[in-house]
Amino acid sequence: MKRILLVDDDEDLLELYRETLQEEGFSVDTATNGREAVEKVKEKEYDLVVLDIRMPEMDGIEALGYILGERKDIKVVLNTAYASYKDNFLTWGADAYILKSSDLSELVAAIKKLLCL
Amino acid sequence: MGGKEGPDIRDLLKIDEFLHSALELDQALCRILTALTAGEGFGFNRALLLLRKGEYFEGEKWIGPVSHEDAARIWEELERKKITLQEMLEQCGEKRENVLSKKAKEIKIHYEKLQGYLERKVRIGEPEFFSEILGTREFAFLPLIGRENCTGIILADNIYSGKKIEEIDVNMLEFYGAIAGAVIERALLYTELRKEKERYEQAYRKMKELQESTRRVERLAALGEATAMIAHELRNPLVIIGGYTDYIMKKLEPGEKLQEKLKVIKRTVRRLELALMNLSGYLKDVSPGYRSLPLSSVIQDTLLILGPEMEKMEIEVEKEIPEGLTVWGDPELLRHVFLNLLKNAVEACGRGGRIRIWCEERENEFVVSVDDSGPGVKREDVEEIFKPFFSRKSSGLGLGLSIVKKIVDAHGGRIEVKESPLGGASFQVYLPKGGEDEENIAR
Repeated sequence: MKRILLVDDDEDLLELYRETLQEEGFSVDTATNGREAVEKVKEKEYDLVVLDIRMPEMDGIEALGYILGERKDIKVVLNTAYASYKDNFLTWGADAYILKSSDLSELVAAIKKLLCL
Repeated sequence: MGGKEGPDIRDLLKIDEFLHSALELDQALCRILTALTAGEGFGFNRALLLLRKGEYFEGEKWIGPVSHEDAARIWEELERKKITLQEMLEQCGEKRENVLSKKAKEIKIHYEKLQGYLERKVRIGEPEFFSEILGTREFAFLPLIGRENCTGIILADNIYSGKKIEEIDVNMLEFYGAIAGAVIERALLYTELRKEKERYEQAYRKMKELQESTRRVERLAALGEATAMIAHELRNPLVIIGGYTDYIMKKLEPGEKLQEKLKVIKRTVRRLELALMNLSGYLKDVSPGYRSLPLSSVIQDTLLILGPEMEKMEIEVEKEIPEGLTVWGDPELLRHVFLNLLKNAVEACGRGGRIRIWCEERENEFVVSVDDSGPGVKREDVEEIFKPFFSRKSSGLGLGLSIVKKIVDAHGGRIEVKESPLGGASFQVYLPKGGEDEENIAR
């Protein structure tokens, strides 16, 4: 079973994502900011991280750097409400950029594609 | 045509009145010559006027019949129609090109050739070289001397009627020369004044346009910032509502009646999301048009806008931006940047303060710095000052510098705040160099 770490400061949103992705057959952990996410990546092996950008304490971009420093092969999906970062995500080392939407099928499809499912 | 001794002092005063009502140079010249050739005036056959232009006297106007036949025809017509001098003067201004007016334009005489003649004195048949131009030795030479300067000369003759010049009252003619000189002086001043006025009006219009476009960018930028924030705040809740609606729909039996209601929720959420996306698209109105811009005129434009305010506040501004430097950027957005920085500087240094705006060239970029003599930025604020909604002022949203930073970032540059040698803050904008100046944005 593929392991996914969800990172977002909105706990209701995390819950929705967790339930949706569990239904899809993933094992899911959550973190509510960048710092927590980095800690979790250090403790446990994940196949993929879904990362929000705007978060308190440590934002997604900074966390991305630490996460990739820790685990080079981990897949990262940036999932944000801002379309404006889209031009930069590849240079930051992320693998996909999904604009937050009530239609989660795009996010699920991107995750499956990155994990070769 | 022929008054025996020319106009008396009463006639001359009437003519004077008419001349003075002509403000335009061309009209004034036309009236001056008409009064010389009209029967009720001095009754000359032809009159040629040369204007002083720098070191030369240049032919400007020459009126009168072009031949004996023409003369006969015109005088007969004037006799028949009984046109008064007043009417003739009023009708002045219709431009008629003929042999004389064309010939006049070819005449150009250096002032040294006229030395000794340029005083308030009418001469007959002198200087002699004019007889070649006029085709007669019998002519009156009349310098037009107003308050002080000789603005022109008139040569008048009776080439068709052959009437002796001496018959005209020379004192009256000299008096007329002074009147005409003053009228020309005034018309020249008027022309100069009007040009000056046009220049001011143009500068004023440009300033207004700049202010307008600056205000537009400011409004759009503030609105864009606000909508982006609102859109972000609304997006998560919509994802949650829509996402869970989906989730519940999957849990329910396909035929369940509630499915329809949930579809409505789903559709509505989607609609809201699209509306938000359009709202964020609003910012596209200010999508920058990058090109190579002359840095100096971008700064000059902003100083033009703030000029009146700075003057009122008695702020001393030094601009040290060399001409010929170009930056790569959008003119409206960059103006917005410097307008904001300068506005802040004005507010910071207050009445009697000093602002210095200068520039330094680096390898691939320019540093443009706005220094002020105000209180400076507190150490603990340096990190905060470019964040949205940060303000130490009692009024304003605190968006100014955050927008400035955004624009500078978008230009591939950066902005820093330091201590200024003037005692206050020094905002330093790093901008990429431009190429050739593609277009002079000063318009």
